[in-house]
Amino acid sequence: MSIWQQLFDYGFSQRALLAAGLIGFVNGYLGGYIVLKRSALFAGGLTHTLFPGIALGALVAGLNPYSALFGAVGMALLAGLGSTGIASVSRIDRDTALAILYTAAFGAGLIALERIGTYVNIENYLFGNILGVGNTDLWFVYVAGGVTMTLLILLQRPLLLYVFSADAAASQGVPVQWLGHGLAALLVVNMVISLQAVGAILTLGLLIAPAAILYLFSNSVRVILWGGGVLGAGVSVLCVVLSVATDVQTGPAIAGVFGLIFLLAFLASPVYGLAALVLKRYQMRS
Amino acid sequence: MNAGKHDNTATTVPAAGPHRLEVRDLHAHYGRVCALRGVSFETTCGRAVALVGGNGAGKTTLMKAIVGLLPGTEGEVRWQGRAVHHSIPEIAYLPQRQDLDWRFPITVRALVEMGCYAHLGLLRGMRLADHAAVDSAIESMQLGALADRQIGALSGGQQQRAFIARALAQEAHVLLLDEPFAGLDHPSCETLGKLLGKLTRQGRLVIASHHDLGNVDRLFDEVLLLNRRLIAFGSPAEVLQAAALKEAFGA
Repeated sequence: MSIWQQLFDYGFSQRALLAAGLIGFVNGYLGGYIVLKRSALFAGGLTHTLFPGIALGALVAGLNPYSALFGAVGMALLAGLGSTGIASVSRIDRDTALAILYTAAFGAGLIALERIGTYVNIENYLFGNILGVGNTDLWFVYVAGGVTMTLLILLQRPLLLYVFSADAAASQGVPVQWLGHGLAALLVVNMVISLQAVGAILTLGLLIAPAAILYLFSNSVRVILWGGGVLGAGVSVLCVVLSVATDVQTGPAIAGVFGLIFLLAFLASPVYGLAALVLKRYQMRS
Repeated sequence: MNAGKHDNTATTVPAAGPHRLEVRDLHAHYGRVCALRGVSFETTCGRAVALVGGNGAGKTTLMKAIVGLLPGTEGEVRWQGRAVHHSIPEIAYLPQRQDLDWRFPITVRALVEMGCYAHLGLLRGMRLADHAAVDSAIESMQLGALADRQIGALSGGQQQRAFIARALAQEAHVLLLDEPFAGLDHPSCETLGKLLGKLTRQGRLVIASHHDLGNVDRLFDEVLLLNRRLIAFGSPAEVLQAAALKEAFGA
């Protein structure tokens, strides 16, 4: 049986392709704002709260899609809002506060995991299992992805003002605090719908890499946002095909391929890559 | 962001008339630290006002308080006779250059277009009039040849002018500039000074924090001497006197 037959004749692989494309697009687009705001570290901290959230949810209500969903969302919101709150009333900055909160949560998650002893099943949430996406999961993706894209497109102008300079944006009447919280909330929602595709840990790569790659080439925000979406969708779909053909896991494949593309972009970009630097040196000498 | 009328005459503004900025008994706090105490002054459009004072004298704080960026502010700011409670597009604040992300993937033109967002609202596209306003703002800051350049590839003076052009596209009447001359070489200072002069002659009010006492009288019409409270306010010749300076800088 050819790969193409395997891909299109079975429901599970059709669902996987659809989910990968949608999740990849939304992540790549949303990631543009995270890269522009230089919040990758904050986003990385949040991804580390998903797993302990799932573990604690499983301890309370058993491991199922709903306990995983509410556990992950709850823990990420708690850590995100908690660290933002701590930073706003004390001299501790947000990244420092989040680092402590998420490691504490991770510790609690590991202890919870030992109590429930279902490591094998939780692995799907850690590293993703897109070939196991069900119809319910797909509905989550439709709704969350649709809401996210609608909001991001509707609020594109104030968001752009905000990520460029919060002070200047506020002086133009943009409600920067609400935008900041809103962006963090969308981030959490998208990390959770990405769990199925790439898992709790690897979701950061799918979020950050597409925009970071385009950032090495383009001086247009539109290219970085929409291009990030297209790149995210393309690589994700490609990796589903790859994993059906070669039996490699999809999540790790996505993270790995993005790492490779980023490295190539960094080396070869004639605008902001190593190649540009070498070229400039060479031109100066001659 | 309010949708509103957007005319394409970004460089012509009605003559001064009733365009008046009044600041009454302004207090600002950072936590328990009092950063500004009872600052009151008023000035009209068509002037350039220098905010002069040492480090921590409250120059940036005063500007941020005027545009409503500081939550713990008491006192009143009135623009054209009406109390200002929210940030309004007529009053633009331009942060210090070092506080901005110059690697941001944006060209001069796209930066200036951001000034139109206040008028465009969320979704309305740029119309001919908006493009004309952007072009005229860029031209008036003498950046026509650099319009497609990424903002990090500009000199310090050009960066400052690009931001002023953005404020012009926003149709700002009052421009609050945080240390616009800092770090500029002499020719850039001269160019920027001339362009600011042009803005005030068009009827705009320019308020800028400034640290070089050597050229205050050439660049500005009025000086506000600040040291957490208002020490003196008036023409450069009146204000920059030994006693007042000593009080302001504590030397």
